[in-house]
Amino acid sequence: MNVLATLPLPWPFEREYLQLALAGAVLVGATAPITGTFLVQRRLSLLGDGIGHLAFAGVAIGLVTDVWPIWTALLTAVVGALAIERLRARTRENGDLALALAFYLGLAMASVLLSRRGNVASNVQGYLFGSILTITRSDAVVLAVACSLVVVILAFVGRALFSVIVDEDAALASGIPVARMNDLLMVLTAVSIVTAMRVVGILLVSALLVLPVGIAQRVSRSFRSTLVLASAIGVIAAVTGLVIGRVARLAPGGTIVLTLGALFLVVLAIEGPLRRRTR
Amino acid sequence: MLVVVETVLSLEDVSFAYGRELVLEDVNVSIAAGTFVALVGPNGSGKSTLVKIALGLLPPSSGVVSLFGKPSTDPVARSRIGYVPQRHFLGRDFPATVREVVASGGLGRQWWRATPRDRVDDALAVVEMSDLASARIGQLSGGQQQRVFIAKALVRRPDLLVLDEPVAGVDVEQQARFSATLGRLRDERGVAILLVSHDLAAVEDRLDRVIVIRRSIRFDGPPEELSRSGVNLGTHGHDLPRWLEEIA
Repeated sequence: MNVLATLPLPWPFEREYLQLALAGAVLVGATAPITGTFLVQRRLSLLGDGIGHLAFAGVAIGLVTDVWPIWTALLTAVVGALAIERLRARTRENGDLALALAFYLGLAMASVLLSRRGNVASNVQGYLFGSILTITRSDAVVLAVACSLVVVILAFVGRALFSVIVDEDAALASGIPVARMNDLLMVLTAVSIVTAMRVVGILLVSALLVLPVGIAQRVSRSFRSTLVLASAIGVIAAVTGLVIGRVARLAPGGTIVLTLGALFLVVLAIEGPLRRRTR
Repeated sequence: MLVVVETVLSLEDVSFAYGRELVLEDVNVSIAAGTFVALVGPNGSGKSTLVKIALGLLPPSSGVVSLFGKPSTDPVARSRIGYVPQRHFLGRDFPATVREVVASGGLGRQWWRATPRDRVDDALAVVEMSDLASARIGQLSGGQQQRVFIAKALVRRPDLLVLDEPVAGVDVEQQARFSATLGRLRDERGVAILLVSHDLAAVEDRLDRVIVIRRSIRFDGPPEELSRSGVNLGTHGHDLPRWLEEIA
């Protein structure tokens, strides 16, 4: 796995840790908005935050039990995401209640567990605000495998998921396994959240799923082009944020999200002319 | 020569209750291939519940439901139905083209297979929306979106088309086009149509039968029979319950 580390990339990616950070930024920047496109159209933009809070509880479990926190975060996020979906399906009119529960229970569990573990502030900070500059080669491999899996699975089930988004009742009547599709989207969201957590942190993770989609759907005409454009915007923002973060000595996670926020405002300002041109 | 007309939908002694509330009671309905049937009734009369039971989305509390002579849960039988549910329109920001929305209706049991392009083209042609195939769905009017959703149901080339309250909020011109489209489907393709609606004015001349429901079937016969008794099949936000009382 020395390939990436030995690439003769120019400044600002001349060092190994920066090349690994670049790899993480590109992988997560490209993948998270693809999952996010399905979430946003299902009006579940805040789901990423809910699952992120549950993943934080998973991080706390990992820190307390000395298991790699990524694994415990992944397990907690997947189980929690499926629980949210069950609760959401049962009380459709109160879907936000399921999210509120995830927010509060995730934070409360993390708080209780971390209180038993003494001084873990520095470890926790990396998960809360991201630690892209500390990505190791093994982290990069895990990110690559997880992101590839998410993209391949979504490429396979994307049409059916789109059909469910357009009209859930009609999809059910036509024989599409709607409940399984919804569960699968939850699991893929959980995986996307845990991978993006490394880049921008739990507190900002939802932004990487949602903001590129919010920008892309304002200028795209088709669902397919929204997916592609959101993914491209995710990569551009992640790499730009990383570069600005290095040049200006700023936290890269927050800088990536601020870059997305700035892009969103720019597109909002020129939305009219752009839409007319793409019609 | 004896012509055997296939029964596309049959409900025998069907009852359904949400908890202790009886919504449908001993409902018997049979729809033959190539007929245009309207299902009307006041709010809460059980129309949408009946449709969901007919489509296999809800199991009846008692009774037997058959689609094309098979149980309503049979996936092959269900694949012969096109369904346009009662729904809200897709918003302006929904990023999808008309073609993508119509193609999404072609997925069924083999949901991983893309809908053939010619089927999408054909369905769009039936509803006269071919020239807007590349338009963004959210930019269309309510009536245009309604025709897109009918095309989405037609892309499966169904033998039974079920439409739940499709004309709500649609202007008169679009209702006339909608009526013409349904007429063509019945006359040229032999599609049986079950239309659930509060307002039958636009399709009155094309209907073969009207079924009036309020928990149980209160009337089942040709529309002329209702008209002769002084019932107005047009917009009737308030008069529907009154003439239903008369029928009951």
